[in-house]
Amino acid sequence: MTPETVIAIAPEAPTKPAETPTEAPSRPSSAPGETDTEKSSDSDLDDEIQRIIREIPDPTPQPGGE
Amino acid sequence: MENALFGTETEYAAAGNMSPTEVAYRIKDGIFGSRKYGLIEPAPREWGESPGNGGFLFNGGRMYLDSGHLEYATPECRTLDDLIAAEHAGDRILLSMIDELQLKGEAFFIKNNTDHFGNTYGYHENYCIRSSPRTRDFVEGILPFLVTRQIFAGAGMYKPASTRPRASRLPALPGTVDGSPPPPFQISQRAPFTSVDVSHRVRFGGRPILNLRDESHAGRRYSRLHNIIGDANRSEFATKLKIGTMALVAQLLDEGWTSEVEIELEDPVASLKKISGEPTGTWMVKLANGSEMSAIDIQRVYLHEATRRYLGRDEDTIWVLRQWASVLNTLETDRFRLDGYLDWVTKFLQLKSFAAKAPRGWEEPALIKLDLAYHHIDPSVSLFNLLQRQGKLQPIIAPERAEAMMVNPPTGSRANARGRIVQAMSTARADSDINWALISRRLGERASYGDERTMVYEYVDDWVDVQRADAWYLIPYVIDWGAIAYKNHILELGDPFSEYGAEASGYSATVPDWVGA
Repeated sequence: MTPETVIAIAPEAPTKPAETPTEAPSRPSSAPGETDTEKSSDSDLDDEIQRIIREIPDPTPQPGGE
Repeated sequence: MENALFGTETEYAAAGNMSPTEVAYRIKDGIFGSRKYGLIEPAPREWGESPGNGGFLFNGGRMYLDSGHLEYATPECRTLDDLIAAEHAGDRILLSMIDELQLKGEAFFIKNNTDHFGNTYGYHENYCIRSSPRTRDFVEGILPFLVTRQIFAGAGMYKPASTRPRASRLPALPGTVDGSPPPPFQISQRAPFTSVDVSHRVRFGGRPILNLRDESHAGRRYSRLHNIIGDANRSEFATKLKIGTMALVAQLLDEGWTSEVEIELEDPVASLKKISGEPTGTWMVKLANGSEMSAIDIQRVYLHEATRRYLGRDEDTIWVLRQWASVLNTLETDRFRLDGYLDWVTKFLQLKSFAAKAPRGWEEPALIKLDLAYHHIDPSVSLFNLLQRQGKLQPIIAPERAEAMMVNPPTGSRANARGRIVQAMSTARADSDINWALISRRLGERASYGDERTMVYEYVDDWVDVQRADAWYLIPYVIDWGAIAYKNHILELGDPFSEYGAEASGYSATVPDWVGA
């Protein structure tokens, strides 16, 4: 059984290059030429990530679950 | 979703200035002490739960302590959006109680499945089906699906060399398509901790892909498919697709479908781990017939049959079939376009970006905290919520829907009756009828055998146990998934697909007359 065979037996399912799921959010494309706004946004994100890493507790051993 | 009913159980990790177990205890006591969200249970329950270990909630779900974790079981839901709202409601109840107890900054909850010290804790899924999930056809039919579902349902896990050994005996990480070193990242948090394909147990003797525990909570007409290989997702899109696809596959197997295409795996556990270790790999696995097939193509076999049978059936099914097909195609052509949809892809790209700027690259110690940050449920310190605020991830349901589900049950199932009655019992202060000192004296941690006036069971299976022991003086009420009893007033909820509307109204109206009587 090859992948092509499996695709062929699933005619109802889309087989063309995928569309991005439509009901979930679209995100900004990562175009080669970033704008200043995008650079600023990335910088803000980096700053926020550093803040979060500072503020959350260190990794803590947990009881084994189930 | 037509003919479907599902719910999940989440064991939260905890951290902060107290031990995880102390955080769990304090928040549980706060939830039931405040009477804002649920009613404490006086009965000892199965699996070693002592009286007061937890209680049912106004939304029909349950909050309780399990193995030192605070665990939340959602109410039984009939739609995927209700399930998402119910999961969020659990997070919100915990956050609300942290605020109320003024523990902000001191206590944190994390919705994930590993602590990076080699411990795992569960996220279980339950699906109501008509046939037995313990038959050979059912087990063989579902294993290839469960092994490969992680390609869209995995929560992702940073796994540097220093934390690899204790989690399990992982095989060596495979190479990547282009021959570059594989990143230290797993698609699934649970896969590295799984060691057997099926088991009646969930932990000891090896964690299985599929748990065969025989507890329907709904009489003999129904069975409960109890899946314990799933990760706790933060992405609503991933949660919806994970539960939706599983519900459809459960229905296929429930109807007796067996695949005409050979998809039986040579070694399900080895395949599970292989796929998980290949975020940039090919996801090819060996079949029992000696050939190979990709995880994507295995998923397409299920998608094909579900599409053939259920296309256009109802709103949830339409959504699932459409997104399932689209996601599989995107995973095949450019998997990282699913950034913002799938947890593992979103987290992988964030960690990869961080590692690229870090002095030690993928071995940077802060990557473990960044991984955990993705799963913190407090929006002020959650990487997931930060990405959501930045527009990289957006919710499927309105926040108001999750807010409402904190104190209101979903419609369309018996959870509606349970939630309404629990709220009525709490309003009537039914818990004031509990004599905790007497319970402690007569029951303790375990029931004493040989004394007919006390409970002779180590747990109360249902109201019948209390009735037989004539012990309503000791346990004034019993609440369970399939029945509610206040002393001799019993309402059985045997059909999980029924709301029991009139019965719940009548029962709730009369509860105040019974309390203290």
